[in-house]
Amino acid sequence: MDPLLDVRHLKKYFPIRGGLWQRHVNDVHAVDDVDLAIMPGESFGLVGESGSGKTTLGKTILRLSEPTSGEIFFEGRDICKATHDEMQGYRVDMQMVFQDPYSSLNPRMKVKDIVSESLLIHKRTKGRETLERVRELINLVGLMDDHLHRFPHEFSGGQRQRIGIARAIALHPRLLVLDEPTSALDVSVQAQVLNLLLDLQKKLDLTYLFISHDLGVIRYVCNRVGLMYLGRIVEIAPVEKIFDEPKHPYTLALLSAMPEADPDHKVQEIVLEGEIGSPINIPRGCRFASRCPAQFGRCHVEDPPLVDTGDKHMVACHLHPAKDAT
Amino acid sequence: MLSSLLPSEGPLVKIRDLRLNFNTFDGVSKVLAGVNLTVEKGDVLGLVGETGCGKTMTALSIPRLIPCPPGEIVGGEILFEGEDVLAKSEDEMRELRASRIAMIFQDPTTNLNPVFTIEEQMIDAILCRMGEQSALGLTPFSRWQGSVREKRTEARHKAVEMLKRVGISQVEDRIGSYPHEFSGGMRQRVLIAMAMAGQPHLLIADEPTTALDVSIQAQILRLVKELVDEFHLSVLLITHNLGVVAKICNKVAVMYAGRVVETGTIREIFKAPKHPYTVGLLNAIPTRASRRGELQGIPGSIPNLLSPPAGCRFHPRCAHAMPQCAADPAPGMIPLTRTHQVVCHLFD
Amino acid sequence: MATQTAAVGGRAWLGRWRAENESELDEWRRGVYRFRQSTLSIVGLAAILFLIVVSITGPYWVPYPEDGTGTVHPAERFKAPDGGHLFGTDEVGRDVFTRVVLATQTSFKAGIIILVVAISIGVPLGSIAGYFGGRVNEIIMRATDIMLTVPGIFLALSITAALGPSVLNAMLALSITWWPGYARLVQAQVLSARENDYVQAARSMGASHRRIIFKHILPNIISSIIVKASLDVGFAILNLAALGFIGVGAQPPLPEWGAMIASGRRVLPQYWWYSTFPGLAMFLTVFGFNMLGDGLRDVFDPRSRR
Repeated sequence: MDPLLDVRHLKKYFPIRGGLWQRHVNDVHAVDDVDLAIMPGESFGLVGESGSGKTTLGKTILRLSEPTSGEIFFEGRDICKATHDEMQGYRVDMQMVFQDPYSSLNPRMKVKDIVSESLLIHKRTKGRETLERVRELINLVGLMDDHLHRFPHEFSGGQRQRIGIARAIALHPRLLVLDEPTSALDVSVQAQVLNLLLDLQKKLDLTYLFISHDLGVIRYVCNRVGLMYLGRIVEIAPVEKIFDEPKHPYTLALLSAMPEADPDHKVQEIVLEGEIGSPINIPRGCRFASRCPAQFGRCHVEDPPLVDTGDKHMVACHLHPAKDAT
Repeated sequence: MLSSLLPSEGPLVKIRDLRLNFNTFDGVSKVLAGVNLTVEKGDVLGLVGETGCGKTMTALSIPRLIPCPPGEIVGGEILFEGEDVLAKSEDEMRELRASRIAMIFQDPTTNLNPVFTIEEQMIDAILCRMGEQSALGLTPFSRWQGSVREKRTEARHKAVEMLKRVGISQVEDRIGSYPHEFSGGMRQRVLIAMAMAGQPHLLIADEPTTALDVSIQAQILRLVKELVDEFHLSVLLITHNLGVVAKICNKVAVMYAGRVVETGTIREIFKAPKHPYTVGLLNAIPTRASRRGELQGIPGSIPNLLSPPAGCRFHPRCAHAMPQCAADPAPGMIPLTRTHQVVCHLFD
Repeated sequence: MATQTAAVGGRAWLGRWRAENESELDEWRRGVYRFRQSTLSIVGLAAILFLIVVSITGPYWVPYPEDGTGTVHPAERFKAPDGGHLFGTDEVGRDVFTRVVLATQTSFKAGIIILVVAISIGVPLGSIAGYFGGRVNEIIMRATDIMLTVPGIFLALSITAALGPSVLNAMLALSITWWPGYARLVQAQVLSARENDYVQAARSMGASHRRIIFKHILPNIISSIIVKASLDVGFAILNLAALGFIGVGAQPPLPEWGAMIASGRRVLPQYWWYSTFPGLAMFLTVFGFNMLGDGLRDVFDPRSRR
């Protein structure tokens, strides 16, 4: 099967300007050479700590911020080369759900206008038909008809996130980028929203790129998981593999630090020293080497590539060499 | 823990039937409606609940930091080491906050003053905790006085020592830095150092790791655990993350809509939860065992405290609601074991 | 029968309208409540409404309508206020009351036109600069800065000197000095509003720049424009009067407060009524607009929002 989304060597640098003439002095390497393929119907989880570049990656894939270099293939066509008009066509197929349910809805628009906006932009429906479709969408995400005429500030966080989801699925997109969709919500509401997302995926045949820092949520929703560290993907594997046989030392540490709501859950905790490095001056060699409990000489010299270690388990670590193709 | 070794004194904190209202534009919001909570010496008590359940307000009422107005305590009592907090004068409260109760907050950035160095802020905090306000150097030229300089040097030694204790490396080089030169995790360590400087009896930690990444959160939690053992500290940890509670607490109190609905040891709450809300909360967390699509949220959303539901405030969302739940106010704390108490008509 | 059905239909329609617009009605009620919290805002609003009514209906009921034009009554010269001349008369015997009332219209018209022109230059420029950023922003904002460095009255003087003194030229001059304030305000507001996730969301669904600016950004910053405008009308009127006072604004015999104060100033304090009453009218206007602006700020202030 061909991937729905195929990202190759994607880079996104934000220039830092300084001095009197605002000269370009350095770059923030937010996304630095990322390869990623997402199959149709899949839920791909993207995990990382703050500053790892996961949100930037999501926004760059939607071309909400322009990639510095690299290619993004959507159904086999490179959208980085798409003109403005061609991009309009792709926008129908790719939508986003945002993290903050407060700043993601225009406070001056009513629910019906928020949800119907994309329908109007792409001229999918007219007049009464639009209202009918909006009503359908609102019911689909679990809200009531009389919510249509209210403003966002009259809703709770969970309800707002449902409105955001209704807006994103209005055009029947193929790919939904979900940027921490539940991290601002309480657990009991989070569970409702996660179930809604799973439900919608089945009903509407959606593909998810699910960005989160919460490994528990990722484990619940996703089929395949990628871990990001300092602008680079360090491990990609099916979800069971990540949680049962993690390979990259960073993944190991992150999993052991994950708080489980179970007092009997005892693991050998690997507490990482120090903090995530600066994405401005990336050190030579492996980006994780300075914090890695298993680092050795080669790690400080050579940057390990992301290689297949067998069984679709990709790791970027010198401890785990590629399995030779036989 | 420690409490069992000592001769039986009273609990460190005892809150009885605390009622707090906020008078707002839209009416009277009944933020706390009869909170009962006990913190024994040596406890690390996790106070959990969702947004707006009153967990922060409960904690802030112990050092009496609720802004009044708009807040108004309309009933109940708070005993700290046997002393009635609500009856104290403002000066006595200041002394209490300086010496016996310390707090750390969610956002370490806004709790450090950006225009002073870590050194100055640490020294001031330590002097306040030692009750040496005269050495703060607030009067003109007082910083040149011998006695003041002596005290400040002494406080500085203590600051260095404390910062080393909370795991800041190269303290002598970094103590002169400004807060923005420190990362979020480091700033939280600085705040913990400030809080610990007066050797408080109670540390109130309000979502101390929520703004931090998982790996940094692990570092901070490990530090808090160490401090508890080292300083015989009691902690009231406010959080919405049950995973954090399971990691470092020995007791839990679950709050819902202005009431504590269940308290118990960590095993009692996590392994044998009784209140339908606690059960729902635990079922809502994705764990190793949860299958795709089978996670159960709690239907509905938290009530508006301007017009809370009559009777038990949880009954509109409760799967086991009975007619009396809507009619009668929730019962008092019903003891199930010596440590496990629940507020629910199912256990009348 | 038919009327009954119509009535029922009408009521049903009204009911539906109310249900659909309940949220707006609630917003309005809250706004009105917040406005009424301050007595001074009510006084300001009342003053402005009163002055607007006076300016519109004035020409129809003033006691001596011909005194607005060049008529002279040498016999009536400098009569103190009494029953016949409520505010007294001026140096050529015209009724001061009539002229103060007629000048209201001149001032309000001018104040509003100045603001409309300033806003229609400043808001588009500020929006474009803030939204597109980069070079466009640099060019527009530096031009704005240059405009701000020129003292307003000085520029107005040069313009009226070049084009000849008249109310129209004074208005033109003031409009030109007034728009940079709006450009700056709007640019700063747009800059922060465009960072909101809902703007990103609109972009991700392919909304045009025009749609984003008009649907997502401007409605969220319009309140600060309204507040600034309501405060500024008073000052625009004051500035126009200042130009009238130094003689480059309204020309005789057109009644204008500033020009009247200027003529009255020469005969102070003996014939005090000549400058005092136009002065009081001006005071009432500026005070009214200021209090109204403060009240509107309370209404729109996001901190008092739920």
